[in-house]
Amino acid sequence: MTGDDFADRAWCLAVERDEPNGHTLDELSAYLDAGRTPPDPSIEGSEACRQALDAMERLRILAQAMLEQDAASAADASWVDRILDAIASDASTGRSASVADRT
Amino acid sequence: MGSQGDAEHLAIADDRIVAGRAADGDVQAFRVLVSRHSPLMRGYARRILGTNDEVDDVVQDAFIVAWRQLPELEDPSAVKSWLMRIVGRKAVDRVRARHPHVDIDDHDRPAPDAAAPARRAEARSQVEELSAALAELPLMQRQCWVLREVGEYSYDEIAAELGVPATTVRGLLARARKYLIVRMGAWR
Repeated sequence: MTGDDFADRAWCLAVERDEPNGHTLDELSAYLDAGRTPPDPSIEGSEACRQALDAMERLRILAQAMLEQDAASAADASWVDRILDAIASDASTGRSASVADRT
Repeated sequence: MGSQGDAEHLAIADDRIVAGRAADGDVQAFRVLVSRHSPLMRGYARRILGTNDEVDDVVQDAFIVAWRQLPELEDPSAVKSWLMRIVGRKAVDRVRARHPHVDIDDHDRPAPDAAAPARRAEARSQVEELSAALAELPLMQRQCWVLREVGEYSYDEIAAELGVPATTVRGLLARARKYLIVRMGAWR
């Protein structure tokens, strides 16, 4: 897969068409979420359907990349402090927030 | 072990150990969980909300719930996905509170025409483009897509979370995917 797959207009056109080879996008999208199983020959045998599925799969991979980028940033220390303060002052927890007991 | 050494030990300990200690009331252990998982949780909340505005509140609320409920978590090694569930729910609740009467069909904007002449305003990474396209999506489509692709929810779980039938989820997801793909193609 290249780094610029969405430059492939065939993908977008396949998706834009709404019913590539008689299969609705709803159907293809749900088929993708079912892991493309059981294999449907009328879908897998159609180039337009495969292009639409490839585009949706690529989107999924990008979502993972987006997630990894989010996860890679460091937490702001003062914001973490505020969370801990909020927990310490949350009297209704019924849990004693005491680190001193553990050392 | 002194508290300094203990903190260092905790910082590199795996989630099972850290979450177990936090469940026992160890605030330093909980701090490690917040530091370790909040960047991902913030990203997830931001994607669902579609804005940065309420991310701090939503993630803070999620951690307060997590602190209260941690002793009930059966498998401490699964704390990350458990935290993601909590923050996802909090973000969906916040969207619902902001927009109590969203019509799932009412806010569709037309997908851009992929056959239009290519125009690329600025050099952006595909992740940045996805992020921008996602922010353009109608509320329900965006929530469906994020819960599915980021939260890894099943259709039934999305349906339960958003209070719509699973068949509606299926349609919303397909429309979200179409919009995002065509949008990204149009930027080329």
